[in-house]
Amino acid sequence: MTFEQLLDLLSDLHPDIDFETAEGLIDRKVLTSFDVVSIAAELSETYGVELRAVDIVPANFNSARALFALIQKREDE
Amino acid sequence: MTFLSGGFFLLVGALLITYYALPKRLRYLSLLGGSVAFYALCGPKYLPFLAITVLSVYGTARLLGRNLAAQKAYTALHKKDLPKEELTAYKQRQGRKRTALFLLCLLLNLGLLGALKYTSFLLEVLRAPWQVHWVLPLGISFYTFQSVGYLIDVKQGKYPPEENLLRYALFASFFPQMIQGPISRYDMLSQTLYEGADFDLERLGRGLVRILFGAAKKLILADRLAPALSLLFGAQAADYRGAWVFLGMVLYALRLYADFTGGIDMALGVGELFGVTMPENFDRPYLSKNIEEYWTRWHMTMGSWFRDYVFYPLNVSKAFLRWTKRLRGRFGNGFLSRMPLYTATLIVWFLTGVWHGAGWNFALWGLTNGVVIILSLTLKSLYDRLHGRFPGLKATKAYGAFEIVRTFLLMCLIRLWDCYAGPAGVWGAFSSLFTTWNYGQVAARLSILGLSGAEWVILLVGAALLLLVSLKKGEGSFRRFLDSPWKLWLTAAGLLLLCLLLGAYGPGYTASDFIYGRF
Repeated sequence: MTFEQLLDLLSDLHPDIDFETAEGLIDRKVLTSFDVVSIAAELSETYGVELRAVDIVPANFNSARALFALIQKREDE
Repeated sequence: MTFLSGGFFLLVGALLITYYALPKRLRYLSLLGGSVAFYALCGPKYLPFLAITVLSVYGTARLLGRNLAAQKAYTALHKKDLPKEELTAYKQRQGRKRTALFLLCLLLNLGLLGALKYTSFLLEVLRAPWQVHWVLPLGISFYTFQSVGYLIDVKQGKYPPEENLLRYALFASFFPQMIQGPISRYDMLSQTLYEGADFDLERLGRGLVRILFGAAKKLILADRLAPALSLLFGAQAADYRGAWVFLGMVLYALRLYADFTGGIDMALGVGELFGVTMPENFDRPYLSKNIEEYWTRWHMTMGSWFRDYVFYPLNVSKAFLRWTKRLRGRFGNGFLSRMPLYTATLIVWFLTGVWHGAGWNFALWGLTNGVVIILSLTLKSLYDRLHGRFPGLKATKAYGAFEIVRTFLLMCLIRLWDCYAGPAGVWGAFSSLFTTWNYGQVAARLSILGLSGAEWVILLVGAALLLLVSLKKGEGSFRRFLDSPWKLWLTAAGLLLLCLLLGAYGPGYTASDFIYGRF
């Protein structure tokens, strides 16, 4: 999965947010818990990346970069 | 013993003396002693149940931690000389061992909670010829959830287990959080619980102000409303329909807020006296613009517990992801493909409901919340289309105010489950809101609620002040106003005076227990 594909996925959820630069997505409540599980489902379905419960912490979802780093980690495993 | 009893204040006073008299590294022991004393004074018969939870969770977490550390050392040692498959098989074996241990401990603790809290209700449902009246230990729902959260975190390797039994026992039993929470996380609470705070008069003043602010909410607003609400929701509830229901649900919203946030303020204030920072449980919930947002701002520690330990794990479980995949393959991205998400939502809200108590009303209250959240999610695209036609509407202050009032009234309606007995009682009250038009009559008969004109003024001013504090908090913490010692101590004196002069106690009142204490 590429970073651009992740940005597209996130933009589908919130077209009004510039995910390339946005920070604190969880802390500022931009992403809700429903967004988070929707992202997890989309990653699993379309890209075959399976996140674990332990991955779902604010630090991993606060920015697109952090989420992309997590995805790469899971893809490498 | 409640937060508002003389015994509690004596206990806190004695603890302050012993805490600051001890060397820093031993100060946490006085908090543990105080917690055990508090729990024993509430009922010595509760102590064995708390001890079972403390010992079982402490022991299991140690074993889990030891196993995880051994696994890490083994894989590091054999990373190069063993084939990858063998290392994976080894990790899987260890993982199974940990899961077995974890489940055993979970079963013991949730089984204990379930048996003590729900057996009586289940026997009633099953129409069993006998009944049981088992003891329900104080705060069991709170300390069990806090302990289970710790156990899950250790199992997931989020942090190593606490090795010192006494330190762990204090985490599980810290007395200010035993009556109604908050439900703390170990990695957060442990940062200040054990360090032994320095004596700081300003921090003591801040703690005292928070305690008195909580006491003022409880005594001046919540307890003042209790007799009136007992009349509206009590045995004669069927006589109070239409506008009385509306008035009752708005007053109940005020009472619940003042009671619960008051209790949490007191708990957090007591913690602050000892330099212990516990998590906030509220973030101006009545200013929420939708129900989903409301539940991230009301009873936040319980909500985040269910989110992190039930909702997320369910949704990212292999079974749920497979289910989602199957549904998307068949139905595309529509409503039906979101069934796993909605099922997880309903499970979480059913559990949230029964966590509050054993009874159909609690379960139905939880499920109603879940259904409304699902409806609002499902209708979101419709709302978005509507707002697309009126660009700019959502950004107006008037629309923001409308969203706040709408969410407040919606939450009031859902809380009817908390106010009336059984579905028939709730339905009768709810339907009368639209069929019994008696608003003029209610205005003329307000005196039957037993509140004098002066008391109505106190309630209105109190509610307005709470709203003002909430609005001010949006511009930065209200505490920033208390930036000098004289302001702090003057505020504390003022709050104490308010409690003494305007508190609802004396003949006709009893310092009622905190509503959330019964959960």
